[in-house]
Amino acid sequence: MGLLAAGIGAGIVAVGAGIGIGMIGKSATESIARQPEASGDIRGAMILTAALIEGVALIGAIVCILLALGIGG
Amino acid sequence: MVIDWFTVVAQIVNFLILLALLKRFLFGPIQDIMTKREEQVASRLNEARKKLAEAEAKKKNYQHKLDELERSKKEMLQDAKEQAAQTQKQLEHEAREEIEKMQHNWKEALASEKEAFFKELHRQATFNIINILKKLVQELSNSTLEKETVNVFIEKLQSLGKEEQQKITTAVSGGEAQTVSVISSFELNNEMQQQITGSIKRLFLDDFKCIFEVSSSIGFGIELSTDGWKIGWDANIYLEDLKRNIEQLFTSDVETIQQQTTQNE
Amino acid sequence: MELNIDDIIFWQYEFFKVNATLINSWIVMLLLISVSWLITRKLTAGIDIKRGQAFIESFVVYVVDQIREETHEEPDKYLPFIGALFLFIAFSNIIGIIPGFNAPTASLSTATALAICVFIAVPIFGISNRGFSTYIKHYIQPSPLMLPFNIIGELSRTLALAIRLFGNIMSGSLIVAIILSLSPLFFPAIMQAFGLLIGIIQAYVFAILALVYIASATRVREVKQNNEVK
Repeated sequence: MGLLAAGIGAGIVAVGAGIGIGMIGKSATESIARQPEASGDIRGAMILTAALIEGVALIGAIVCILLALGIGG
Repeated sequence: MVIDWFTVVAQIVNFLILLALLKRFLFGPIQDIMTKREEQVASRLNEARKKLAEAEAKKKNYQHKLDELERSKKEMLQDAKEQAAQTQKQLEHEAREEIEKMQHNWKEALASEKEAFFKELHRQATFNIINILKKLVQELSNSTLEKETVNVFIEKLQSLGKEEQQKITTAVSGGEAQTVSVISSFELNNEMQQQITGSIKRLFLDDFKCIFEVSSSIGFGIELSTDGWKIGWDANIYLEDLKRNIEQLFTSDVETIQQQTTQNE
Repeated sequence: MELNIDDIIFWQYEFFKVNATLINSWIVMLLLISVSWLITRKLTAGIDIKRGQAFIESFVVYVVDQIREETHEEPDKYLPFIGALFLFIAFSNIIGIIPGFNAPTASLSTATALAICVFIAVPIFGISNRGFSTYIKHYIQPSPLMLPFNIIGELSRTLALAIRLFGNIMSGSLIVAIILSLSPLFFPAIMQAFGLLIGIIQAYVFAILALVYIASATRVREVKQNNEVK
């Protein structure tokens, strides 16, 4: 049961993080295409935002790992 | 998957140690050196700026000096040109003057020479012609030229009109010394003198003194002169023609020579 | 393959123990300090700069630029902390791809320790910059009701910082280990190269986030002053 929950949770986390980071990448590349001279700043902001989303996603992933390993359960 | 709290504390301590050591060994020196370099660069920039300004000022100064030099050079050249032109003019003027002077001198010399030549020619021609005449007269008419001259003179006196005779008479008698001087180019012998005095007495008046003179100023002839009156015969009249002819010939020659010389110049 | 490198214990006496995390951290520290000592031993302010000095100077200039951009303040105060964070995490991640070594950041303890350092450093910098009372006041900024949310926000972002670093590095090494068991040739190398990139990015992200948190703690006063001026 825990393994199943972990698997489903990890999948949902991956979906959420993927959508979020994908949107960031989309708008970032669009912005760079529009303003190539600001590509450095945009890339920095993109990595920062992606890292923030990734942090949330990783928290979910960690929870899934904990469930799978049965720790704290 | 639990957090090992001892490791956490140890890692915090580790990180603090690392922080201190990195600050001591890496960021401190690097920042020092960078600020130092910035200061150096700033000072160098300042120096460069100062030097640039100095160089600019120097350049301006030199440019100014160069301009001045150029100007003075031009002025000097102008002066020299003017001076040269002046000197040239002066020299030309002097040379022309000298040439004119020389020409003048030459002309004078020529004139004087000409005069002398003509005088000499006159003298010689007179002498020669008179000699030839003497010989001719002697050979043709068995008489001397002097005698014939005196005869001609007496004839001339006799051929004078009444009025003129009267005038001469009054002139001789009105004069203080009451003298008549007869001037001739040759010596008159007694016979001739008597002949002349006789003819004068017969023509004009009795009471007078007659003075005979010899003069070379008359070419060949006899002249009678009282106060303000002169009557005489002279061969010079004929000789003058000859002289004039020769002179004309000579001057035309000289003119052509002069023209030629000017053309050569 | 141990999932938790804290459990690889070399020496233990009662509460004190020396595990793989500590050993690898010390190796990274030794490496960093010796390299920086070697480079800074013969620094020159002149024109003929050595390659090491040029590299380290360009790195410092980059960090200084980032700090200035974020905080709009003189970066001298923050440079050692941010620089040390970045260097330590980056070198820890790099050392992880060498066989026989483990990345110390793959341990949740190390990540937590670094996050706690940031959690402590933020109020320290804030107070030193703005004074104690003004700094404390910003926890109840819109209204005193926001106090618990502010505190939870601070705690959660610290937790996220730790989890992000740990999760990325640990999952990277875990994936490499799993792929190694499936196909021992070629693919682990690609994954390790990818892990290298992820490691550098994570070091950058960690340092930048720490900087952002510090900046948010120190910059409030300026905004207020600007408002007063307006």
